[in-house]
Amino acid sequence: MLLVRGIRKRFVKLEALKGVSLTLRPGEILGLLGPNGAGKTTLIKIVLGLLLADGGEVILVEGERRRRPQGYEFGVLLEGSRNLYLNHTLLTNALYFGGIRGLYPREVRPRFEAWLARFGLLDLLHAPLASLSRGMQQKAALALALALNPRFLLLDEPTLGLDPVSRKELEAILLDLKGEGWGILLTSHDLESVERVSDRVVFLHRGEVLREGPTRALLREWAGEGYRLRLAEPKAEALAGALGPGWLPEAPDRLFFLGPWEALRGHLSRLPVEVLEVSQGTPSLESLFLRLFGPAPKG
Amino acid sequence: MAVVLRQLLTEATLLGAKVRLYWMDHLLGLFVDFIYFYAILVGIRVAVPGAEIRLDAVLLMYGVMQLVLGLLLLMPQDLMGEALRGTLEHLALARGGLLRLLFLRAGVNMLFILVRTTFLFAVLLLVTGVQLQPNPWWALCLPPLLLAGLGLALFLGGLTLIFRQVGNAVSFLQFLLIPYFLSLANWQPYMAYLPIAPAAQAANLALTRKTLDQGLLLLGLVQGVLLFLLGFFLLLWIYTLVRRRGIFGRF
Repeated sequence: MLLVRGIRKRFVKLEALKGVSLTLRPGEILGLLGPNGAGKTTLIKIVLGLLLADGGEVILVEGERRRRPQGYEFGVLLEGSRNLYLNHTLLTNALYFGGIRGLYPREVRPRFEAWLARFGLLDLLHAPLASLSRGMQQKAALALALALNPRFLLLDEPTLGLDPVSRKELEAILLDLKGEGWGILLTSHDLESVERVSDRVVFLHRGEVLREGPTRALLREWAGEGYRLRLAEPKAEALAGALGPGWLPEAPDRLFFLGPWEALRGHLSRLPVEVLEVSQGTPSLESLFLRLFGPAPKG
Repeated sequence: MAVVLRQLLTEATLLGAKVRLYWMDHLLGLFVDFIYFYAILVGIRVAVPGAEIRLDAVLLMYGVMQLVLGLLLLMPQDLMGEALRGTLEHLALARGGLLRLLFLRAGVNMLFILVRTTFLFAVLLLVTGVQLQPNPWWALCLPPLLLAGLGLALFLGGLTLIFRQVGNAVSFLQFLLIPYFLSLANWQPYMAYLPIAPAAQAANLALTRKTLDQGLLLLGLVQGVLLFLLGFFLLLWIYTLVRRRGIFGRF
């Protein structure tokens, strides 16, 4: 288990982290969410030892033993695909980054090949990374992070540059990894993906944990139950702006209402757009995120 | 220990891959260095017309210059390249941390530069027909030179981590070192106290006059150790500083 306790970090005038604590357990995916500048990447870099905190501690709990984890014990993707040597082959990269973590080629290569095969990239083992598309580079970097056999995976924007199909594949792989007992910390602005794969989410805002908890329970607790409306016209954005803070646009033709049925019933007859369907549910992570961190609604 | 050896071998393998990948540049670099020697020789003849120039001393000066400058240029260039590629932070995740990795990389680079300089030196000896008169213990002059070069490389590496662009600092240091290399051609006793000069002069005497000046050698060794320690502690301090300020790897 990875414990992050009371991490504080100040950059000259900016207090980037104000005592952030979180827990990452093996076999779970933890979504670390927040707007740009919330402190997500700073926190990840502190966990890795790439930045030094002003206070707090990072602890790896192994049974009764507690210690500071070392950077090489993590599988890491930092900000997209800038993780490998572009002019060298995938294999050269794998053997190099495995080697500097003290792993032998006989340990790294079979694991790397197995992960490449799972990503459908095995044929490109001897191809230079630069000859791959951005999405493929991202997959190769992830395959390498996994091949290094880390204790935990820290993935900063892993879906960046991936097409929808690859994104789905990545989601499936993350869920498989979770099933195999890997602990994964995931930061992403692709909130649909995060909602689908994460067991728990932590909302960071201006260096503080705003909320933390199981994803679905947090959505219910925070936003309460509500109702999803399917509209006959793609006017969800404009309607949400006009109707006020209780209304969240989820898609061009999908609107979410936070509140009881009685309140919604009063609105339904006055809506300027035909409503095709109403169903009970919880709002999406993305709509909640927009409500929390987006611009204030007009009107 | 096995992990360190594994990492050393990994660095050597990567260097091999880079040489294979950029073979054209490496080959041209050797040719350019060869031409550069003649440019220096012609420059000296033009600057001091009629003077008796000891070709063996000039040749040795060039060899030492190649060795020391090669060493100290590589680390800042390497760090800048890694940071711009976005791989520097991943190097810091190596077992033992970034400093161990930089040392191992510097060691591998040092060996490469030593082999490269020896090759260049041997070709120049053949072409110029200069006959060296080496003392059997001449190789003792190499550690002080390598230590001094490594110390300056670590010093510049530290500056690179914090100031990011240090190209002009490197050029400035090269200019500062030129008089010390030229001391090989016109040695004066006070030069024993200039950085690198005593070890270079000891190498000169050992290779061209069969003399092993133990005093100069010891002085060169002390200087080498001091420069190495200076570079090491500066790099260590700056590495901590940039991680504290949050600017590590931001180039």
